[in-house]
Amino acid sequence: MLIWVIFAALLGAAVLVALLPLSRGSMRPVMNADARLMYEAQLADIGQDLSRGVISAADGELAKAEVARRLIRAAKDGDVAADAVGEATYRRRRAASAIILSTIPLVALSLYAAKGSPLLPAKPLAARLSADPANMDLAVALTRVENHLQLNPSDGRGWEVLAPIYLRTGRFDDAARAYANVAIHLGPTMERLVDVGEARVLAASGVVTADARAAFDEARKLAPLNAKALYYLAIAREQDGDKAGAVADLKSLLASAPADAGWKPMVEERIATIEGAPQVPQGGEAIAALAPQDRMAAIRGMVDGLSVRLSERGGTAEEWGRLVRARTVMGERKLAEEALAKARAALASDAAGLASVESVARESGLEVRP
Amino acid sequence: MLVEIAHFSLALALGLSLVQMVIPIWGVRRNDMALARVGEPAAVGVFLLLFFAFSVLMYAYAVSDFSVQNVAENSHSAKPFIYKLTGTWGNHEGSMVLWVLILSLFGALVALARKSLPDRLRSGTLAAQASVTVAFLLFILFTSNPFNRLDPAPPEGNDLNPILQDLGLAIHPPLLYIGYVGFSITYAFAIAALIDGRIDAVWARAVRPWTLAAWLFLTLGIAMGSYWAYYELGWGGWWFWDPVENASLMPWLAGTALIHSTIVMEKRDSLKVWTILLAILTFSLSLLGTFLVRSGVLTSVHTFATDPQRGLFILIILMVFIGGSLALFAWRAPMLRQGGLFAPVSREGTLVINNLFLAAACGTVFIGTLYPLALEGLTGAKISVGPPFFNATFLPLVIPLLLLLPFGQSMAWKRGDLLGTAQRLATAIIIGVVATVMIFAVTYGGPVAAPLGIGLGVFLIASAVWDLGERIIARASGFRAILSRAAGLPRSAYGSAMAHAGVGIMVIGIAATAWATEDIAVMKPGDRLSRGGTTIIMQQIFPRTGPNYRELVGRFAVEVDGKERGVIDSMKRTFITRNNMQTTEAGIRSFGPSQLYVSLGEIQPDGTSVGVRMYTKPLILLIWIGSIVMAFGGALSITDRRFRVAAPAKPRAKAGAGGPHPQPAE
Repeated sequence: MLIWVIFAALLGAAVLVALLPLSRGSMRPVMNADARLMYEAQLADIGQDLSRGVISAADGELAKAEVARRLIRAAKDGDVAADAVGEATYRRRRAASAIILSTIPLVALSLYAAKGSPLLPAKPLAARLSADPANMDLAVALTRVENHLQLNPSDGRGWEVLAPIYLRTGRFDDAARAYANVAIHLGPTMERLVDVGEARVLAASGVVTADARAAFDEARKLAPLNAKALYYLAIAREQDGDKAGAVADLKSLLASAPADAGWKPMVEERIATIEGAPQVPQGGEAIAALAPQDRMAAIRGMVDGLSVRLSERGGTAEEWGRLVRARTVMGERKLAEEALAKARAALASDAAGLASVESVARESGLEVRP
Repeated sequence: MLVEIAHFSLALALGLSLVQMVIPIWGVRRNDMALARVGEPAAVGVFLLLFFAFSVLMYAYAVSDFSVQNVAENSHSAKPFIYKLTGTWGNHEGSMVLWVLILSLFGALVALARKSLPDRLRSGTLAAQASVTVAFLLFILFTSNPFNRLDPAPPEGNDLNPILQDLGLAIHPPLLYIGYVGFSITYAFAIAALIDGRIDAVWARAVRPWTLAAWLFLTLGIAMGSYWAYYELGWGGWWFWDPVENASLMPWLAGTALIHSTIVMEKRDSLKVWTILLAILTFSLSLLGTFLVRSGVLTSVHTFATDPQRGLFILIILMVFIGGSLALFAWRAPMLRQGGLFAPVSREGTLVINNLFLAAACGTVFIGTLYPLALEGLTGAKISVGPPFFNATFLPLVIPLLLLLPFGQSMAWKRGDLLGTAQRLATAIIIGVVATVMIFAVTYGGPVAAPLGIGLGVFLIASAVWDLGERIIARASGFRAILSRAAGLPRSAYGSAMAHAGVGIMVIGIAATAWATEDIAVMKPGDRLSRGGTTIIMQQIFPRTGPNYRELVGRFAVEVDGKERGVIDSMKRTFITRNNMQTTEAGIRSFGPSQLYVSLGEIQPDGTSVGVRMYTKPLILLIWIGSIVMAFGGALSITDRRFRVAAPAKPRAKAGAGGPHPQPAE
C-alpha cells in the first residue's frame, strides 16, 4: 500500500513541477544581459594587445569599431516584442497544461505497469543470512560456505560443515567429495572414512560400490568399525549373494547394539527383507534377463513377498504405496483395493502416511472413499 | 520497495522528459516564455529522478540484492565492497543509466545557469537535450532495464569480469561519460540555434564553457582508460588503435576542433556554420562510439553483452539524431547570417588550419575504424587495420599541426605577421633544436624518432611559456608593472598556455617510447634479468588468496646501477567466481616519470619457473601527466572572468525548480 502512496506523491510532484512556470504571467524574452559584458571584455583584450604592441594603433581602432557594431546588432536581435497576454495565450496554456497532466501519468504508469513488480520485496543478502534460522535462506548460506571453500580448499572445518548439508539435500556425490576433504585436511579417522563410504553408497543409490568398500576397508585399519560401517558391509555381502552371511552379520550387529540405538528397527527390517524375499533372482538386471513369462512370475513373486511381509509385520507408508501401485500396474485391481484397505488399518494412527498412500492409489486409478 | 520506486522514477523521468522536449519549443516558436520556461524545472526534476534511480541501483549492488537481475548477473557477494559499487556501471544496463544520468545532469546545469544564457537559447537547448534523454530512456526501459527482478532470487551472483575489478573502473567510465555526454549539450545548443535561426558571438560564448568542460573530462577519461589498459592488460602498451579507443578519440579530435572554432566565433563573429556543424558532428561521433561499443559490432572488454535488438535500437537512435540534425543543418544553416572574412595570416587563420588538420585527422581515424567493419558487413572479408595504417595517415597530419601550434598561439587577431611571429618564437625554436641535437648526440645510434619528438615537445613547452612570459613582461617597466600585468592577464590565456604545454609534455612521453625495452625470460627463484642498468632478481614464487581470487605472486628484487631499489610483486590471478578466468597484475615501479614494468607469463611445466616479461619504459608517465596538464588548462580556462560572470544563479533558480525530491521511507 505504501508503495502506491509514494508513486502517487512522486507523480504529483513531477506534474506540479512542470506546471509551475505556466502559472506565471506573461514573460518576454530579454536580451542576454551578459552580452554587453562580453563585448566589453573583448574591448579590454584589444586594449591589451595595443599595449603589447601586437597590433598597430590603426588596427586596434578598427577592431574596436567592429566590436561596437556587433554590440549594437546583438542588442537589436535580442529585442523581441513581447506577446500580449490574450485569449490565444490562455488557450495555449490550457492546452499545455492538458498535455502535461496527461502525458506524465500516462507514460509513467503504463511503462511501469508493463515492466514493474511492485509487490516483490527486496532481498538484500544480509537479511537472507540473518541469524534467525527461520528467516535464513539455506541456499544462500550454502553458497557462502562453498565460496569460502573454493578460495580456501584446505579448510577441513568448512568441509565438515558442508558435508552433512550436502547429504541432507541429496547431493551425495558432493557429500562424498566433502567428507573425503574432511579426512584429508583434518586427518583420517575411522568415523570420517566411514562417512566417505556412506556418502558413496548413497551416491550409487544404495549399492555398496568398490569405492565405498575401499573407504570402509581404510577405516578398518584405523579402528574397529562402527555400526554404520558393519551394516553397509553386511549389505555388501547380500549384494554378493551371501544372504546367510549378511543376515548373520546383521544379527550380530543387533546383538551388540545398545538398547537405545535408534538404528535397530532399520537393521531388523533389512533382515526381514532379506529373509522374506522370495527365491527369485535379485535386482532389476537379473529380472530383465528372464524370458517374458518368467519375468512376470518373478515380479509377481516379489510383490507377493512384499504383501506378505507388510501384512505380517507392517511397514512404512511408502512401502504400502509401492504395493498398491504394483498391484494396479499388474492389473490386479481387486488385490490393490485389498492392499489399500490393509494399509488403512495398518496406518490408522499415521494420518500423513495414510494420505500419501491414498494419493498413490488415486494416481493409480483406484476409487478412494474417505 | 526501493528498487521498485527507482524503477517507477525511471518511467516518470521519461514522462517528464517528453514534456521537457515538447513544451519549451512550442513556447519559443510562439514567443510565450511561460511555456518556454517549463523546460527548466522539468530538467531539474528529470535529473533528481534519475539520480535517485541510479543511487538505488548502486544501493542494490552494495547490499547484494540478487532479486535484481542486473545485480545477480554482474555482482558477487565475495567481491570487495568498492567493486560492488563500481560494478554498478561495469555492465550494460547500469552504464546506460549512468549515461542518461550525466545527460540529465548537464540539462539541469543548463536549466540552473540562468544568467549565462539568453532565455530563448536556454529553452531550445533544454528541449533538444530532452529529445536525447527520451531516446535513451526508451532504450533503457525497453531493451536494457536494470530493474528487472528475479523471483526466487538466486543465492549468488555471476560476478563482474575480473579485468573490470580494478580501481580504474571507478574512475575511467564516469570521466569518459561526462566527456562523451557533455558534448550532447553543445549539440543541443547547435540544434536550438538552428531551430531559432539566430546565432552570434553570444552563442559561442555561451557554448564555450560547456565545450571546455566536456573536453577536459573526455581528455581525462581517455588518458585514464589508456593508463588502465597499460597496467592491467600486462603487455605494457598504452594505445592500441583499437576500435573502442578510436571511438573515444574521434569525438575528442572533433571536440578539440570545436573548442578552437568557438574562439574564432566569439572573437570574430565568423566560422558560425562550421562551428554548428562541428558541434553536431562531435556529439554524433560520441553516439557512434556508444553504438560501436554497445551494439556488439565490436568485441572487447567494453562489450558487456551482445544483443542484436539493442544494436538495432541504438542504430535507430543514431540515424534519428545524426540524420535529423544534419537535415536540420542543411535546411537552416543557409539562413544564418554569415560572418566576416579574414586574412589567412592571422590568429583566426591559424585556427582554421588547426580545424582543418584536426578534422582530417578525425577523418582518418573514422575511416580506419569503420572501413574494416563496413567491409566485413558487405563482403564478409575480415581485414585488420592497425598501427601501420594510423602511423602512416594520422601522424603526418598531427605533426605539422603541432609544429604550427605555437605560431597560432602567439599570432595576433585579424592581421598577423608571420615574420614577426617567427621572431618572437625564435628563442623557443632554438631551445627545441638544441634539445634535439643534444639528445641525438647523447643517444647516438639509438632510434632517431625519439630525439626529434622530444625536440618537438620541448619546442611546444618553451613556446607556451615564452608566449605567456612575453605577454606579461613585454614593454612593462618594473617588477610591480609585471605583477599587475600577470594578474590582469585573462585566465583563459594561462589556460591555453598550460594546455599547449601539456601537449608538449605528452609528445615527449610518446617520443620516449622509442627507447622502451622489452625482455622475455623463463626465470626461477635466484635468476637475474638485466637490461641497461636495471636488473631484476626473482626472489620467490608463492600462492596467495584474495577475497574472490587466488593468485600466484612472483616477487622480484630491483637493482638499478648496482643499488637496491626495493621489490616488485607481479601477480597472475585466478578468479574462482568467474570460471577460473585469469588476469595479469603487472608489477610496476616508478623512477621519476620512468617505469619498470614486470609481468608474469605462463608457469613452466616444471612448476618452479615462470615466464617473465620485463619492460623498461623511460618517461612513460609524461604521456598521462601531459594529458592531466592539458585538462587542467581547460579547467583554468573555464574559470575565466567572461565565464565567471555567467556563473549559475543558484538561489533564484532553485525557487522555481523545486523538483520532486524522493525520499521514500522503507
